[in-house]
Amino acid sequence: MYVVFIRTLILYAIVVFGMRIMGKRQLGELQPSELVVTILISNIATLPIENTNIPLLAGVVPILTLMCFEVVVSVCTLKNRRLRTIISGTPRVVISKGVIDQKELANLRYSVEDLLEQLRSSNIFDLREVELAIVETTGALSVYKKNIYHEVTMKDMNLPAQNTQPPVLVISDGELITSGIKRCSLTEQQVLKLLKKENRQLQDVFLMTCTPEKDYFIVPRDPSSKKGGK
Amino acid sequence: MKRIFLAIAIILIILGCAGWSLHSLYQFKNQGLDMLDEISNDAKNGRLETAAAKAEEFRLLWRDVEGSFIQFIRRDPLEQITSASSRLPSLGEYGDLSQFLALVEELKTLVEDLWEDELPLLHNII
Repeated sequence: MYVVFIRTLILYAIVVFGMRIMGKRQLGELQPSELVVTILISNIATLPIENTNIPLLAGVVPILTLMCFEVVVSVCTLKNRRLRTIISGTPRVVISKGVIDQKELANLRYSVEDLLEQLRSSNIFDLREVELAIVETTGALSVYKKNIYHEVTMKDMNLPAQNTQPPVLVISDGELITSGIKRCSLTEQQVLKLLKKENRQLQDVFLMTCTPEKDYFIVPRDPSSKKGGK
Repeated sequence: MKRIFLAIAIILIILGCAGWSLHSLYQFKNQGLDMLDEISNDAKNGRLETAAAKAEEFRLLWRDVEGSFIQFIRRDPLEQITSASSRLPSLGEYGDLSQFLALVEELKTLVEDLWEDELPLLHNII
């Protein structure tokens, strides 16, 4: 059992390492080649865990090979448009000027139910609102609404808008986040001063967000979780 | 771009290790088959004690290399060779000549198969 346990940990580390090699893109929407690699890796990783007759390298080598080739293919498709088209395909327009391209839907084997489901997940419940819809190479549907259905913006209303930066996490679970503090153009001392103003200690803060304008928001740590924690 | 260099480096390391493993298997194949041929000749020429002693040497050689082969070859074919090689010295010393020679031939086949199964040939890949 020790063998199975240690193999599981090793393969877990290898898969995580491989995912890091492949880069953050892998964790988001998947291109066809990336989906294939993910499925293959998940199946291959289980083989040496289930069967101790199989050498560990028989799992590690295919996993690393697949991941490395995926990186190589990604770089090649980045440089070569034609290769990108062959491997990933091209986005397809399924609704143009409000009219559904039924032939394209059939080519994509996209049913009406699939289309409506994807529209609903984009918060569109009325087909008449759609000006343009494109099925991306990942299978996701990108939608552009007709102008009359666009949300009103401050620009439309000719209202003056202040340029504000979004809040950034500066404290997480009682620890200062240096990168977040820098993005707010603050120093650690300034953040601690803000806490002092609120009569709080660093270790009592679960999370804190802040903007460069010192517009901050603090979530205190739950006392019950503190007791069971560190 | 760093990732691509890392990916290429890993691929080269894997290919290097695969080459090394093939090389060590090739060395064992040559050495092992030579020893088995000598054992077979000695047995056929009535020198059973010499054959048994060489069988013991073969068994020890196999025990040394098995540890490294187990890292990249499935256990089943390795265990077959382990089982056969462990019986060989005793059969040479106390057993039937025909059984002894048959086991030597079996070992030769197992060693050759072990080598051929690791070659990157079309019939192995398919």
